[in-house]
Amino acid sequence: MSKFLFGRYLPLNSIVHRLDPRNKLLLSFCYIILVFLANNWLSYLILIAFTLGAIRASTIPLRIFVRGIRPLIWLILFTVALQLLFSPTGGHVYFHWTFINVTQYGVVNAGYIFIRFLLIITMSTLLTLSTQPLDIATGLASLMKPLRWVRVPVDTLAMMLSIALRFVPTLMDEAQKIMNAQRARGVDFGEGGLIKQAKALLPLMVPLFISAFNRAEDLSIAMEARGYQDSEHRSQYRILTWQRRDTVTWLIFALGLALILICRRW
Amino acid sequence: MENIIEVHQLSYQYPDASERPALNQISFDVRAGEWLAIVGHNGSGKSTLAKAIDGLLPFTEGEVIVGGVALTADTVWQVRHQIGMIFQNPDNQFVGATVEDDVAFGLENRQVPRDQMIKQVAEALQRVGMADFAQRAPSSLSGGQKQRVALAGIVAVAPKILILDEATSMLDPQGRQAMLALVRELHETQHLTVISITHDIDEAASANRILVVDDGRLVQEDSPAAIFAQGERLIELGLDVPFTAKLATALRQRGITPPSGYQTTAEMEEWLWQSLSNTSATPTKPTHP
Repeated sequence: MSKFLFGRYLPLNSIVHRLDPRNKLLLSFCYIILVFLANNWLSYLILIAFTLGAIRASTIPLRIFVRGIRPLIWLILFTVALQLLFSPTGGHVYFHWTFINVTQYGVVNAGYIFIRFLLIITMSTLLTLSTQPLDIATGLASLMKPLRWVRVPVDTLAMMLSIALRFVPTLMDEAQKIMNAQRARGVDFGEGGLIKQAKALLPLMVPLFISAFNRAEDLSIAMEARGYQDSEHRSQYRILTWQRRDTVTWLIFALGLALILICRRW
Repeated sequence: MENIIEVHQLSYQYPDASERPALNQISFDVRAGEWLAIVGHNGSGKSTLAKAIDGLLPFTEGEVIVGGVALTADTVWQVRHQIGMIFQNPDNQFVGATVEDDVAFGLENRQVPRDQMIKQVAEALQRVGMADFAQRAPSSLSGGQKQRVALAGIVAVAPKILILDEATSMLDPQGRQAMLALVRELHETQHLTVISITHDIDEAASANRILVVDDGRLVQEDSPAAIFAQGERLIELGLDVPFTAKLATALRQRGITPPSGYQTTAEMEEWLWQSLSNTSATPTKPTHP
């Protein structure tokens, strides 16, 4: 578990950390579009430069990203290999055997896919490393506001999201406690055959669900007692503010977009 | 003093339980600024009573009037805004992702504007001594700290009535003492009306009046001194025996008769001093055979 970097937060105080979470969410989304717009080596070089710049600005050491990508490397290599070996004929054919074709077209595409993977994973890791989950939730809720016009219950969803996030550590602790309690009574977790392992999960899952339902009941009563009626008629304590540095990031993004569009024509 | 809560002939039956009602014709009044303790066995209906007063349970029969407002489906929010409630499990009533978010929750529900909220949240946290923990997540706090945050959430909205529904029962002795001291201070400085539902002897001893509930009925209503004077019967009522009463029993077994009736710790101390200094005037050493 600790190997996975995804969804973890690294508390530092860089300029990237202090950016508005809405801004970071939007930027990460648009960055993915930018990655797919790039279509030649020069444009990828520009993207890599911008990505490294963003990492530098976040003051998060590069090796942490490398560690984050490591668990995903097999998935990436698998995709790259498929692209490399089974590409349609195009350009110079380096190697041919029954249905396997290694072509120039395939090699170039495999390279592109490898870089795309790396860039997207790095940037989304940067987002989660530099933004607290709570801020991501607040940012998402704020970005979803326009969906109100199509009758999406945005405030209720935001409340659900914040409660879910608040209870993640509580339920993790609880799961650990139940596991230890069941171990003390002789349950082996992760031992024996597949069916036996799955069966051992039952004494964990059932109490965990029951406890979650009990908690939900208690929480809802406490919320009502504190005057919660309707998520629409509430004021907001946690407010996000768009600052000048947020605008500046979009200027940098626009520069990147312009450079890549020029490169595409080249 | 005027009555802030009036309960007339309150009855409630849980929908799934076919036998006896959880509350059976309960009537009592609470005066403004009073501290009332409600004690009773597990399953005696005392928690149900607290929820019924706050409109969290639709009672079948009877009437509840809070601050002059009769509790009905239309007035339930008007009633709830006058009452702050703290429940038993400190973890399960924590709504916010951080301490300050949780304290702000009640204010958000009342649509308090943001700049006012920031001030009130900071003040409330200061009041309960949790100002340094404002940014902390609930999972990093102890049970007693979480209950203090719950109390801050109530201080922030400043209700007239505070109901403690076994709020100290899951805390360690230190947490319990700290929490009670805070409630006592609020009771005195803010003239808050406190209703505490409890098994805890210290909490019951802080009250001006104790109601004893048994099997959904109100069986006794008296001052703490009168209730504590009942000695061993207290355990039947769902309370522990106070330390001074235990000491009195132990003394009686050794042939010493302390004054009858309930003594506070200070009174007992005084009596012990008095009787011991009397004997030391004419020094009589215990004779050893």
